[in-house]
Amino acid sequence: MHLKKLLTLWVIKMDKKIFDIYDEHFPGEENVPDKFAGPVEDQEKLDDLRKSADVLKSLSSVSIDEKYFTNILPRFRENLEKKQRSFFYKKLIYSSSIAFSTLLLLVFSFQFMKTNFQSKVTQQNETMETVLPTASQDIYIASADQFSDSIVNNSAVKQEIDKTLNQSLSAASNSNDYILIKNTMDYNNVLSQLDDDELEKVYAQLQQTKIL
Amino acid sequence: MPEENPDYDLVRRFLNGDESSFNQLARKYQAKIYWHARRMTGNHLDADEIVQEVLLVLFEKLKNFNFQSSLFTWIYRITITRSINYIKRQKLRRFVSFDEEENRGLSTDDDIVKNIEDKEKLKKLDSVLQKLPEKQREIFLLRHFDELSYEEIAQITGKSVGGLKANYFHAFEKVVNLMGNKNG
Repeated sequence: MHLKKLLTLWVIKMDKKIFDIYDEHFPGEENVPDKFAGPVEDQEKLDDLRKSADVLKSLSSVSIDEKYFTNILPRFRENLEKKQRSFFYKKLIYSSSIAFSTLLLLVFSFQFMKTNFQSKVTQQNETMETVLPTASQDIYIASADQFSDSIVNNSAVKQEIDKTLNQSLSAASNSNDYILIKNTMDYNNVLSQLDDDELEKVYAQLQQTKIL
Repeated sequence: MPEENPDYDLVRRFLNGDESSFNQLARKYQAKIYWHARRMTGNHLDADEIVQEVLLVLFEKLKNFNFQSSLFTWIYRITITRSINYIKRQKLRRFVSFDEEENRGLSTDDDIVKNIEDKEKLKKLDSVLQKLPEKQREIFLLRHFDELSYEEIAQITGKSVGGLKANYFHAFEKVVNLMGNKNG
């Protein structure tokens, strides 16, 4: 087979110089010279190289189903439409998720602010409550006043208090540590009648006296 | 400033809202995109997916086209990037799912090549091309099959002309040797 013979020839290392000549006169660039000024062997090598290149190209020239190329564009348009649709949905999902996240963030921030505000108000109220009595405290104080008034105005209780007080005072008057003055003397009048020496003495004595 | 070409006019019309201009552009370049992707990946299904991807990118990114380079260079750049990314993704997928490479390929009924002889030819070519490293395969395809000049390939790949020439020579040598081994 001609092809087989040709290709077997090229298993040997290619001549770079010959290849450059072939490459310089590559089809489509310049006209390929039929002959070039060089040894006959080189000319043969060049011919073989060209034939090998042609064989390679011929492997690629095949008959194809032209319908494929006719259908490329419709399929492309279909794919494009699908892509645009999916892009639209993706965009929609993306923007919805962004909007939803923003909304959630706003709700949470609002909730947080509300809670924070409420706790601050509660804290403030608690502080205020310690300073200002509330209505319940007013009621409590009023009832306590009423109770104490009822005790004070009660004659039996009054008598009991006087009795207890007198007993306590008389017990205290017997003690050595304390002096209890129990009279109805007008001290201002007495003091005005004393002269300076006597006043000095009384003052000195008072200084030495232990009062409660 | 580059010479005004019909592609620019179509791009402008598309950018002004004329959808049919895009269809014209797609029809003009779809075969080139397909065959480049097919030779890069080695099978129809992957190539078809790349064609759809490239058209989508084209549709979405045409507004960024700067009218400084030719449109086909720009389309090739997109095709190459997509193809290489696709191959990488597929490799990773196969590695993760332990799929056999043979599970995908020309045997599928979806293939656009129906003739058995043609299928065999393509299979042979693909099996050889797949043995080239991706970057080298890309340069080989652009030069040998798409017949682009080194300057154009340099514009697409961003590599120097000297580097491209060396790469093409090695790729060519490897391909011819592989073909010889397959036939021998």
